[in-house]
Amino acid sequence: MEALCDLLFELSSSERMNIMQSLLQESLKLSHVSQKLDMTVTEVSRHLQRLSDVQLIHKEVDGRFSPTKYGELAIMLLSSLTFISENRQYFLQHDVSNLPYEFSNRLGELVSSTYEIDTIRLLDRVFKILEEADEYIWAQSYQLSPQTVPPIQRKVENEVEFRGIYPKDIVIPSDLEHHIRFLDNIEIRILVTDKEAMAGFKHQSEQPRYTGFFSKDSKFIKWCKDVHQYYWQQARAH
Amino acid sequence: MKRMEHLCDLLFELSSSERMNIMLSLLQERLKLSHVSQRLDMTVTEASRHLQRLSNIQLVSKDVDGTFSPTLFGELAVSLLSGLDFISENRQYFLEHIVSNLQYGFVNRLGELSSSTYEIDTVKVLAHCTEIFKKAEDYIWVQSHLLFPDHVPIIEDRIKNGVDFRGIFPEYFDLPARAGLS
Repeated sequence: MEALCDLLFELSSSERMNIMQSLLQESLKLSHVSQKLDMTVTEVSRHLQRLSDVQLIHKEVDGRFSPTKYGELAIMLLSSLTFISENRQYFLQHDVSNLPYEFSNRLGELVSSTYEIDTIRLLDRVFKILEEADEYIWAQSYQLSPQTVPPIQRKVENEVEFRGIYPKDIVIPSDLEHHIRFLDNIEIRILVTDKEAMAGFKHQSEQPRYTGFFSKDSKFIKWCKDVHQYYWQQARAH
Repeated sequence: MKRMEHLCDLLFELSSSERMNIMLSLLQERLKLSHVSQRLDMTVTEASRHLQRLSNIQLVSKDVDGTFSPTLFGELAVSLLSGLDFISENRQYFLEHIVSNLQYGFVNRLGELSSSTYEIDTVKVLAHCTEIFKKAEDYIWVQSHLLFPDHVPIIEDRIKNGVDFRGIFPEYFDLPARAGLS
């Protein structure tokens, strides 16, 4: 734990973090770092020394500083903490702990997303996502909202693959039956298509809240797809 | 830059080994201030200051009965440190080995390897692999630059006993011709 705490301490300075980010883009000399980040040479020198001491960066023969492989990896592994610290209020109220760890450990892949808190706007975005799907629509939620049924039916007629996962007590139109599987506990709401995805975790009050994160980022889409695939295997066919 | 500040604040609170010990204790069971101080051998003043800091950043919360427990956010934050914990424990290794070519989905899951021991001696590694192969009952999946010749008969024997073997090797690697491994 000492090693972890030392590492966290070095990364807990936003100046040092800015230096790391700059060096990840290109290796730089002391004077360039100081110009680029508008810090005094003394300040920069002190930070570079600290970062070198924990081996997050090293000095090349030409005097430039660049991240070590370890430093590069450490920054990558911060993405999950970046995502949850940016959305602290959300993660104080939503429970991620019931997701398999292989997905919660990958939360950082959701970092390039926007949060939609308004249920009406969320529904608008859901319609738009359904409308734009060309290849597949994979959904998982507490219910199949009646307004979304006609657009999904139209897409299915146009050869778009639909997979839905819902609790077993919901009413589903008979023509969608063989596209749907059932799961007793829905831990996360997911909508993913070949264009865009939405993810919403379970609210601690157990009362469904229709808010969620949206993104067209490929990592975000991949995460949602992997999670849906996992639950699809768990779910029972009609 | 707001994003970075939130992250740095969080990292700062977690960079104290005393606060981290408090978090780990509270994850096991909810505790009152006095119990935290006894259990972790800190003065009540110290424990109180740390609990205040952890509460301010909402990693822990105080219940009506006076006990402290981690928030959902706090629980999640600690679990997401496993990757950094693993690489910082093995810093020399990760200074010299390349992980970044792996698919990011696996890089982000590195923390899942943290309950492991590192073996630096090649002879011991090979002996350990022999043991692993011998003990396998259901499957043996291997991916490597090569297959050590001494391991071939062991694997063949396991396959005869119904063990599923899958090997991934570079194309230039000549599979032992006699082996039923190809």
